[in-house]
Amino acid sequence: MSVVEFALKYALELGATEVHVVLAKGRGYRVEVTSDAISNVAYNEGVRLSITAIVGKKLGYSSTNSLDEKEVRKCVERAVSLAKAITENPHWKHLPEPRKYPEIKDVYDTKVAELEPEEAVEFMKICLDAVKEEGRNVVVMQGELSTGESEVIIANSRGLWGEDKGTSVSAYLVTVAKEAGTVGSFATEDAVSRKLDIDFAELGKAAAKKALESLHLKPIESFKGSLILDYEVAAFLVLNLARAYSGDNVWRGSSPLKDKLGQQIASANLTIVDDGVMPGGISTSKFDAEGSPRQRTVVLEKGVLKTFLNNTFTAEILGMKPTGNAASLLAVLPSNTIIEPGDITIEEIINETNKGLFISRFSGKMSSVDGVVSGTAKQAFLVENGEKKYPVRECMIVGNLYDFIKNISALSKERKFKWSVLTPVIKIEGVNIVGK
Amino acid sequence: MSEKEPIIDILHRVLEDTSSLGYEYADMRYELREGFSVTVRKGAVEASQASISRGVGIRVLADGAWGFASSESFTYTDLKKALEKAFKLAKTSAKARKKNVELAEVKVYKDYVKAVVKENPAKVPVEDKVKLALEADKVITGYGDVVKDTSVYYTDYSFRKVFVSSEGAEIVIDGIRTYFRIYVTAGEAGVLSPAYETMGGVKGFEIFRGEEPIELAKTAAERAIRLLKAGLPKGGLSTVVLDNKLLALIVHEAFGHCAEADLVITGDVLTGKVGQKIVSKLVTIVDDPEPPYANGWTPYDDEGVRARKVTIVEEGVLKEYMQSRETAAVLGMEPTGNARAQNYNFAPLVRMRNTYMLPGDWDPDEIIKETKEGFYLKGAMGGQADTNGDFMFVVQEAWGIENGELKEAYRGVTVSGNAIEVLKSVDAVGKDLIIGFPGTCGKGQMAPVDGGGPHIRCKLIVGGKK
Repeated sequence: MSVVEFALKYALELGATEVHVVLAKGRGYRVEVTSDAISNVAYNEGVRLSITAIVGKKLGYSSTNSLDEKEVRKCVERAVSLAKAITENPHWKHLPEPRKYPEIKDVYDTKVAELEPEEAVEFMKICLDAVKEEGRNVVVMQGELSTGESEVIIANSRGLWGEDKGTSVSAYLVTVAKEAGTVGSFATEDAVSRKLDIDFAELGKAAAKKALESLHLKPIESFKGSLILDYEVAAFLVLNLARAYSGDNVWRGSSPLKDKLGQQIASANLTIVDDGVMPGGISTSKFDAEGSPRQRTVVLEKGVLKTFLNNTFTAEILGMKPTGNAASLLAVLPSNTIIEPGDITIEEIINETNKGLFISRFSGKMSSVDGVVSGTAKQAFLVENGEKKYPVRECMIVGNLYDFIKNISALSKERKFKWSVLTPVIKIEGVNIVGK
Repeated sequence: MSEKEPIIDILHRVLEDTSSLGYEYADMRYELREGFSVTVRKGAVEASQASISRGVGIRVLADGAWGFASSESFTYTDLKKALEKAFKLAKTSAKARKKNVELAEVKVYKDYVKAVVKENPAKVPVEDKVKLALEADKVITGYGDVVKDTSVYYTDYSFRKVFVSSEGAEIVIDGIRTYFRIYVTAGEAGVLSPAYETMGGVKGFEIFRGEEPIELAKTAAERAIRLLKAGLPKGGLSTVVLDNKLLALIVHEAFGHCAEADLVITGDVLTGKVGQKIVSKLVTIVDDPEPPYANGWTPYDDEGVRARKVTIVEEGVLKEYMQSRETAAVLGMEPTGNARAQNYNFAPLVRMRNTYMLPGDWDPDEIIKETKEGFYLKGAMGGQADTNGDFMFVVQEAWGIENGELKEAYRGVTVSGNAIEVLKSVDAVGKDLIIGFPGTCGKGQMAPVDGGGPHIRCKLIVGGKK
C-alpha cells in the first residue's frame, strides 16, 4: 500500500469522516547571482505529505516532509486530533467528487528534468554577458535561474485520485545602471517556461535596457492623460483584479464585484480568460489543489463579468460551479490568466497617443478591495504627440483600478507571458499623473 | 553544552570523512521546525494546521566558489552524498567565476542558546488558541454589519538550529515564535476600507494572556470603520510627523537595505560613504540582534558568527554596514552576524535583524503641537523601496495638522521620497522608542525581522489628489 493510501485509510480508522491527501515531490537546481558573479549553485530535493482530516464540519490539517512510517502515522494522528479539538466551520459542505481529468500538453520536458548543472550555469553566463554587452555600466545586483521537476499525487476519501508531473525553468535578473556617481532605479526582468526555450541573451539584454532607462531622468509637470502599461504592469493590474473575481473574496465580502455578475464592469475591449489547461502554461495542470479538474473559464467577456473563480467550497456557498481554481480546500487562486489581444501594434498605440506615460515598472499598490491605485512610476517614458520622448523622474500614479478597467482604450496585438499572465500592452485614458 | 542533539555527531563525522575532498570550507545546518496555526474568519474556525519540516543545508566552498545541497534524510550515507553534491556544484560554479570567494576570519564558537519564554505554546491546548482567535473575531464582528470581512490568524512555531562547520564550530539554538494577525474590511454604501494589525516575535503564549489581542482587534476594527468616511488629501512636499510603525518601515525598507553589504558592493546610495555625514545629526540607526526577544532575534547567524549590534548611523554619520563573512572579506571589514537563510533549503544572505532608530528628547505630543501645518501619518499597508533610497509606502491612516492640532482624517495616502533626503530633513525625534513591528522581509528569501523607532518629524512627498 502506498503512503497516500495508508494515510487515507488510517485517518478514517481514527474517526475522520472525510480525508484529503496530497503527496508532492520536487527537485531542482538554482544558479544564484550577486554583483555580476555566480555566487552559488544549489541543489534541492524535497517531499511533502499533507493530510486534511475532516470530522463533520471540522477541518484539521497536518503536513510533514518525512515519509518515514512513524512520522507519517504521527502526521495523520495530528490531523485527526486537530480536527476533533476545534469548532465547526459552518460553511463546510464536502470534498470534491472524482471527475474526469483533461489531457494536458507541453508541461513536462525531459530535457529540463535531465539538465546538468553545468548547462544551467552556462545559461546564466549568457544572461550576464548579454547584460554587459548592452551596457558596461549595468550591474546585475541579484539574479537566479532555477530548474525544477515536480510530481504530485492527490487523493480523497470519495475515491478521487490524480497523478501529475511537470517541469519548469525560470530566471530573473535585477539590474541597476550607474553613471558619474549616480545610481539609477533598479530594474527587473524575468522569464518562465515549461521547457528549455527561454532566450537568455534576450532576457539579459532587456534587463540591461530597463536599467539604462532609469538614468538621465527628467522631471515632468503633472497632467491628466494616457497611461500605457507595459506587459509587467498590465499583468500586475490583472492579477489584482483577479482577487476581486475570486469566489473566495466575493463570498467573504471583500470584493466590490459581489453583485456585478452579468454587468458591464470594464471597457468592451477587455476579455479575460482563466485557462488552466492551455498547452505549456506555467499553471497548467490536470487538477487543482483540491483535485478538481482544471478548465478554461471566460471570466470577463467584452467587459461583462461572466463568472467568479471557485473551488468546491466557495462554489457551494455562492451556488456556483467549481472552476478548477482551488489553491487549497478553502482558498482560490487564478491559474493561467489570458487577456485577449487588441488589433494594433505597440508602436501604433504610442503613435496615437497625444500625451501620456509608458510605464514598465510600477512601485505601489492596486487594491482589489477599495480599488485604490497609488504608487510610483519607474522606468517610465513621457509620450507626446505620438512619440516616446524621455524617461521621467519618478512620478506618482493616482486613481482607481475599477475606473482604469472602464477606461481601456487600446490593447496591443503583441502579447507576452509575465508569470502566469499572458498579456498585451494596455492603454488607459484619463489617468492622473502627478509630477513635481 | 546542554540539550545534546544526536545529529551533531553525524554532522561532525561527515565533515571529517569528507575533508580529504580538498575544499576550503564547509558547513552543515540542521533545522527542525514544528508549527501550528489556526484561522478564524467571520466567526468560524476555518481550519487548524500543524506542520513539521526537518532538513540539513550543506554549503561547500571549493576552488573559490560556493556549492550548496540540501537533504531531508539524516543518515550518514545520505548526508555524505549531499555534501559531495555540494562540493561538485562548487567546482561547477568555480569555472564560471573570475574572482575567488574569501571568508573573513572569525572566532569559532561552541555554544548552546535558548530563547527563554514563559509559556511554551506547544504545551497550550489547541482549544485555548482557538478561543483566543474566536474572541478577537467576535470583538470585530461585534461592530455590526459595517464589518464585511475579518480574518484572524494565530501562528506559533518552535525551531531548533544546529550549525557545525569544518572550522570546528558547533552551535545549537532553540527558539519559539508566536504571531497574531488581524485583517478587517469595513464597508458602507459601496465603499470598502481595509485595516491590518499584528503582534508577536520570539515570544511564548504569555503575550496573549493579557488584553493586548483584544485591544488589537478593536484598533483594527475601529480604524477600518473610521476610514470609510475619509478621503484623499491634497498632495505635495509636506512637513509630516511619522508614528513609530511607519518610521520603522522607512528605516528598514528604504534605508536599511542600502546598508546591507552585498548591495553596498553592487553599488547603492551608501557605497563608499562610511565616515561621512549623510543625514540629520538627530538620527542614529542600529541593527540589533537581540532586543529580547524581537522577531529578528539572532544570537548567532547562519554561518556561526556571534551576532553583534551594528551601528549603521550615529548622529548622522554613516558608521558601518551589515556583513556576512564573504562581504566582510571583500570590503576589508568585520563580519557582524547578519548572514541569515530562510531555511535549510537556502544558503545565507546578508539580512537585517531588528532595525530601529534611537529615541531623542521630544515628547511625541509636543512634536504635533509644535507643527504649524502638515500631516500626522500612522502605520503602513506595504510599499516598495529602491537601492538608490527612493521609496513609496501606503500609509494606514493620516490626519491633517493645523496649528498644532489634528484635523481631518484621510485614507489611501501614499508617501514617497528618498530615504537619505527624508532623514536629512528630520528636525524632531521623540523619546518614545517602540521596537515591536514584527514582519517578514523578502529578498529572494524570507526572513523574520523586527523594527522600530520613536515619533519623528521630517519632510516627504504626500501623494493625494491634485
